[in-house]
Amino acid sequence: MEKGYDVVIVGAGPNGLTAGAYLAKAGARVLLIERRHETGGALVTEEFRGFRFNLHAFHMLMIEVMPPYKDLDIEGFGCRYIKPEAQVSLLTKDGKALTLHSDVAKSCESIEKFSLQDAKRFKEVWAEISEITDEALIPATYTLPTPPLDHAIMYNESELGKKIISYSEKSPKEIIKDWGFGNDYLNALLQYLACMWGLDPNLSGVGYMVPLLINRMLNQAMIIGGSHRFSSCIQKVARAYGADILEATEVTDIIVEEGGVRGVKVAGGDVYEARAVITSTDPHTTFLELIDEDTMKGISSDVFEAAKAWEWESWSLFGLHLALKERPVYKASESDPAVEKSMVKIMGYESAEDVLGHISDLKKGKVGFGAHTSTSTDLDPMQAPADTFPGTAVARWETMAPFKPADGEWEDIKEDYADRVMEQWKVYAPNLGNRKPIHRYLYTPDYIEKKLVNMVNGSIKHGAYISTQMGYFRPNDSCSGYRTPVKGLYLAGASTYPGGMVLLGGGYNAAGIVADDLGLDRWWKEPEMVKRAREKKLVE
Amino acid sequence: MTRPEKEYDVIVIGGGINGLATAAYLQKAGMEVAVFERRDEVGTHCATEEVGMPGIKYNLHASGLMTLASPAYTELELEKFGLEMVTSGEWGYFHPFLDGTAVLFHQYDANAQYEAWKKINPHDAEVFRRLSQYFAPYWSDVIDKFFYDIPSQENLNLLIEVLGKCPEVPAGWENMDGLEAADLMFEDDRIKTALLTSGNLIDLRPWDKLTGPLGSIVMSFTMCFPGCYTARGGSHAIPHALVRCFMHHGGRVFQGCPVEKVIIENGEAKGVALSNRAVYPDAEIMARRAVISDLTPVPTFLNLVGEDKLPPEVVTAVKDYDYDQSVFTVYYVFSEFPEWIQAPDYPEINKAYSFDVGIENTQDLRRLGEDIEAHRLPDPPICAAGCFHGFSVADPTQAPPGMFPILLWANLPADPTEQGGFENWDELREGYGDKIDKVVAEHVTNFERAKVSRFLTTPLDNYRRNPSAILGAWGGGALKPEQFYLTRPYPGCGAPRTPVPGLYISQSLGAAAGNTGLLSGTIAARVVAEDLGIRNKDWWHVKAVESYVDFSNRKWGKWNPAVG
Repeated sequence: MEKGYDVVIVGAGPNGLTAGAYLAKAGARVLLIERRHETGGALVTEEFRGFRFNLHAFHMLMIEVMPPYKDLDIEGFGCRYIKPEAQVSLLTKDGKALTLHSDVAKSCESIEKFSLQDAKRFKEVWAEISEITDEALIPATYTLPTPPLDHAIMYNESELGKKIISYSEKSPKEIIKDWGFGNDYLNALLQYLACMWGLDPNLSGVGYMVPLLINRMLNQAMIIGGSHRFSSCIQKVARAYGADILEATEVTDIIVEEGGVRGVKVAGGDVYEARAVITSTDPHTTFLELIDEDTMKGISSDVFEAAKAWEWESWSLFGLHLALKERPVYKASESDPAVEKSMVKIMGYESAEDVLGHISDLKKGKVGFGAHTSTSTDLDPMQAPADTFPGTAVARWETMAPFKPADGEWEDIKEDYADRVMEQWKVYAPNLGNRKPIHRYLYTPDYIEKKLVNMVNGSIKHGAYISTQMGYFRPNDSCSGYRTPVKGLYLAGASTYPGGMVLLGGGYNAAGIVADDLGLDRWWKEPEMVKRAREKKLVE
Repeated sequence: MTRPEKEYDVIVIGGGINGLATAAYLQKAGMEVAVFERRDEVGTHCATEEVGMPGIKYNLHASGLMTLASPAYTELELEKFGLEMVTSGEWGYFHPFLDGTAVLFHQYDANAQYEAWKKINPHDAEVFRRLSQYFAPYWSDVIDKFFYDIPSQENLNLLIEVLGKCPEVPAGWENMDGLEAADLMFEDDRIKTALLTSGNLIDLRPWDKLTGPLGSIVMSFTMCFPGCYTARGGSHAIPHALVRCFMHHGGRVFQGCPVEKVIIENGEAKGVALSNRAVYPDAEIMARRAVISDLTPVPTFLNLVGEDKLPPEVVTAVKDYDYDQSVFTVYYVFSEFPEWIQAPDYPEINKAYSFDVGIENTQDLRRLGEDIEAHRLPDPPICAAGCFHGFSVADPTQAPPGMFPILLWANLPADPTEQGGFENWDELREGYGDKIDKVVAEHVTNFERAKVSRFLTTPLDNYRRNPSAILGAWGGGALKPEQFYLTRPYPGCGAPRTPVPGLYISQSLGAAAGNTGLLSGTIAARVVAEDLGIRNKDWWHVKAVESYVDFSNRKWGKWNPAVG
């Protein structure tokens, strides 16, 4: 291993790997340093008794539209995804199902079974949120954030921009209510899709996320072979262009001299020098732990204070993963065959109030029984040993959960909670009770923090999605453009614009900035969608 | 670059560590090589995953890493490609007894081992002294020729000759089983038990003729065979380093690509056909020079080649291939280091990397052989296949501070017919784990207090992970006299060559069952390279164990294989 690099990247999660792959291909000597024994961050797939469990990231919201996927030829390196037509089904206790598809006509057919009027209205809402997502928010994900004042001025120049502003001003709860659907199931489903990844239903300021999240949750994909394959392939790209990767190595210091970065020091004392250091860690780690306090305060006390004030997410996720001898068969698939192959089944909510109730409960530390589940093997049978043990399946049950339960430590309550979850799950899929699972694994919020240490308090996006931490303010207004006040130090992780959820936006955008600053060839072209959005004054 | 193509010089089916090693050698020697792996990760038996509490690395399966013994360690520059071998101390291995004694094996100094054995039995320590002095000059040659070179009668004769000339080795040892040979060499049953068990660690079963004594004799003169290391980040660092080396030289690895058939034209292997589930643009990929299977004999010959393409005697021989050499794995997490009852008198064991447990005497080993033969679960269990308590001591990245992952391997029949057979393992799993708990608790006083969690895997679990591991065989099939060296996998195969020209096998060759010494991958690479006329490379000259000797000298400042 050499000791001198053009770029050292701290953390080889999806964003770190993406930045590394772009910069390596641009000719930089790149070193990625990862604390875990595997790269990929939240793109983690672990195998239990021959069954592939996607313990963390599973729902790929942007894979079909993200520039890195094509720029880096990730498919050429062995990645494939499945985007099922039937996307999300809300199941009811009495065996009914409402299924939304990536094809709006099919969604409307399903809604019509409950309300003709809602079906008609959904078509309008879908057109609006799709336009917002496709024309403005997706392009914005893969370009730099705009300062708030400029942003407001720009958005006010177009009808679509104004619509986005009006969404932003409302809370997710108000947005769903104002859409005016009459059917409780549809409202429950939309409220859940809007908030399941941590958006507070009562907070205004980040309402523009609601169209984006709903649109993308109905255009999601899963990775064949398991989520880890995605990062494994980006890692191969980086390596193919000469990047070095050091796993099981913790960076202990970012070395700053005379206001500029000189390199990093790792546990054990080795130093790797670099012209640029990119970190994909959270702001606490970057600005309060890796850089000496006096040095950081001396360079920018604002950034130091902003890091101290960083807010973690107010709730996390709990996952129950099963290796099964037979796939769960949902009662609702009798009345709605689309349930058989839909990617996500949501259960436990029959009105928007149920979703809101769950969220208000979990803020009090109470666990809930509503959740989203997927049987990955329905779409990709080889995530179980299906060739030697036909019929075997992998199912995951995931729910919003408090980081600190009121009833005790997760370690003490998790088995009992999971038993109760199983009882609830069986209401929807009675055959789950027939045969004992081959394996059960519980992925608790404290496990999230232990596994992925930047997800403090189980914060799956490295920090709350609140207006003061979004857009130009993620992680703060001095650093959201990927440069920091520390010369040569750049940010790229989920705590930087545009955020978490495996968008690869942070890594992609940071790579461009670093390439510019180091005088490297920006070999990739600006995406057409970004150019189009700029013409329409939807991005800067 | 790693773009998928329709044709390569060499195709390797299966990205186990031996397949990867072969691929890396051939790529480095100038071939264009592609590896197709069914799973989403390479190195199936060399995996490190977090299947319990996050932050605790579970090495499933390989744990006593022997990679330092391999020429590949140097020739493939695995250190440069990120492999960092680490251990917990200078003592490699110990065998504990309920009387409070323990037989210790040292990692690099025969004098230290001699002194330790003298405490157990002075006569046997003297035998060890003479053995070590006799073998020291032969050590490197014998290991290299017998374990890392192409299996040949000549190399076998060399081994028999060298061992036969040693005054301490009983005449006719090759016709004895391990227990008989040990009885003629040593006095103390504890020394015999420890030596025979340590042979069992490299799959040489004490109750077998030829291989049994070979196990104990080899172990007695190699001190601790270089298997008392882990890698920083866990065992999976080995496939990582191999892939890195392979890709560095331009090789390509494709995961999620099950191979269904070897394409045979005019009787020669010409390529592979992928399953329709494979993540690859083409269904058929051709190999200009060679196809290498890293799968075990049944899937290689019966599935990939096909019975119709093979002589009937080969089909019969492969169908008779015995896979039944398996282990049951217990993975504990402790919140304190184990307090061994032997530690007061033998404090060295706290720094030793590995051990075994539940074998009080040679009769226990006899019992184990009989139970396996009768397809009966040993009761009480016998953890004689290698156990490890030094992972996180050696490598702090494998667990949070204050946590100690501990792994035990119990030998048993994969198909315990009296208890419902192979298919019944899901039902047997926890009960058998409880029995192992009791065995460990007899030796470890803080067992109940320290045990935080337990994760068990059975032969069935391994088969579900890896369908090439029939009956869950971690080592690619039983290493018994009928399937050993020249007759592995079957007499007349000529492995790594096969009856199909152009088709080679790269695992479970010669004197090896699966281990991380990369024996089979090294042998396969040498043979294929010779057949293709590309063996003559200036970097391809390292003898087995040279890397280990060099490493020991660097790490400990010492390498002393002979008492005195």
